Amino acid sequence: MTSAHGFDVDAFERSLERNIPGARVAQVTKFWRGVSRETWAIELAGGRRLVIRRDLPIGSFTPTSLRFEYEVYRRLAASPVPTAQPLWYEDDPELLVDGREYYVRDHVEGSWEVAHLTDPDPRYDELRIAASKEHMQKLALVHTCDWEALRFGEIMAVPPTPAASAETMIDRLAELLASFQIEAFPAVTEGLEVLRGEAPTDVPRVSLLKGTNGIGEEVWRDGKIVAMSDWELACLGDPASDFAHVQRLKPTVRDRDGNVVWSLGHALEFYEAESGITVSMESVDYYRRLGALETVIYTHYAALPLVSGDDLLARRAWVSTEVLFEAVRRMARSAGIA
Amino acid sequence: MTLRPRSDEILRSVLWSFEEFIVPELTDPYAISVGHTITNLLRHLALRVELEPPALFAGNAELRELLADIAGYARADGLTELAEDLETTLAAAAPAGEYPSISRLTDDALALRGALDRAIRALQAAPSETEEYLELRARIREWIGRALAREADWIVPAFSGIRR
Repeated sequence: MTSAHGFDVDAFERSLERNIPGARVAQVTKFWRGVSRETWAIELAGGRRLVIRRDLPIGSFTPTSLRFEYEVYRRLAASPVPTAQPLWYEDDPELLVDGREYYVRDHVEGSWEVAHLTDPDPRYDELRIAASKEHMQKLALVHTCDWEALRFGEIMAVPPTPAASAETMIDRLAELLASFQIEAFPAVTEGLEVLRGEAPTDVPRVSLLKGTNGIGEEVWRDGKIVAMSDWELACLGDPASDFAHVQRLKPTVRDRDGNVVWSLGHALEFYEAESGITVSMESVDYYRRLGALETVIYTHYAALPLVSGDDLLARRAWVSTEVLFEAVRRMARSAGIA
Repeated sequence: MTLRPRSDEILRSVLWSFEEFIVPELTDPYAISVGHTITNLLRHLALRVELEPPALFAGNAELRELLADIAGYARADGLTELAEDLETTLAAAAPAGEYPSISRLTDDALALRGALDRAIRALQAAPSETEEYLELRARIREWIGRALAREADWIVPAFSGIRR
């Protein structure tokens, strides 16, 4: 095989030969989900499957580097957290694919979906609870891993104390926004003042945080998370933050009498038993509000290639208008502005 | 000279034609997704071309008054750097002598909002319990609320249903 639509196989095979001598590409497929970066599935002759991640031709949708994402995987490979095994990062100018850097990791068999999770039929209630518990167990692994020994402090801002976690996160995000923003957001500046003042101080520990997590962000197989994926927004901070970023995996389950038998509150209790870390709903709510700043960052960042004319994808126009507006309005609400 | 159809009416025509004749022909999942986004953006544009110019014009006029008052406070309170920053911005973003284009209105709005943002930061860094300070901070928040309410008029009604 010498070429695939949008992917220079010959160039990749030169890098492949250096890292897995004798291996040949049998098939290349582009993964259709995800917008932040390109993901390609590579099947080698003999059946081994690899995954390649690289930026879009005009860069990523998110303002964190591809190298950062790879470095997260590399460090997690030595931890109990289930992830795909990273293999190599290619930045040799002679071996780039389509002129772009990329990294390669082993493929993990599974699905980003959990079948019947959103099926309202009560017979799937137990499945919903089991999936939530599985998710909590894996978040517990992330939050209790020894991030210092894994050298995450080399690639992430380190809060000087647990109580300074929110402040460190705000500083990092504000600096990130300032590094590229093309218009001022007074509502965000007002909101940040309030959020700094209301930052949780009862923080149990500084943990490795996954960032976006839940459905669509992990690989599931037979009801278990076999690989946690999409680490581009990982950072160090208050574990409560991750519970504000759970996607489509906060089921509320009621019994026949209408009593709530599973909810985020139950999930937090289960998580505490697994991790020994107490997370309050107040802190989760706080990080939900702070999450608006993260949304401002990625939605405003999406506008840059549109404004410069480098990428005119209509989705960028939507994200950088409606989604940005709603995030700015949430920041304004944090400042008491209706 | 032709005045009708107006730009909003033309956009409405484009939107209707797109939904009537193009969208039903789409079969590729990604093309359908892009079609959803374009439909929403056309609704947004139809409102925005009509509502944004007067909103920016009004918002800029309010901001000039507000920034001038903040500059006065800054002068009196020894925040010289802030006062000079605001006065320079106000001089550069003076009201146009003729009917302004949308790009001129937007450029002025960007400059004035940038100055407001810097002013907020400077005021946050030099907090005070004086009535004048607290009133200025309240007026800033009121202006932000008004600006967001105006913008909501061409965002909230426009985006609905599947976005992508």
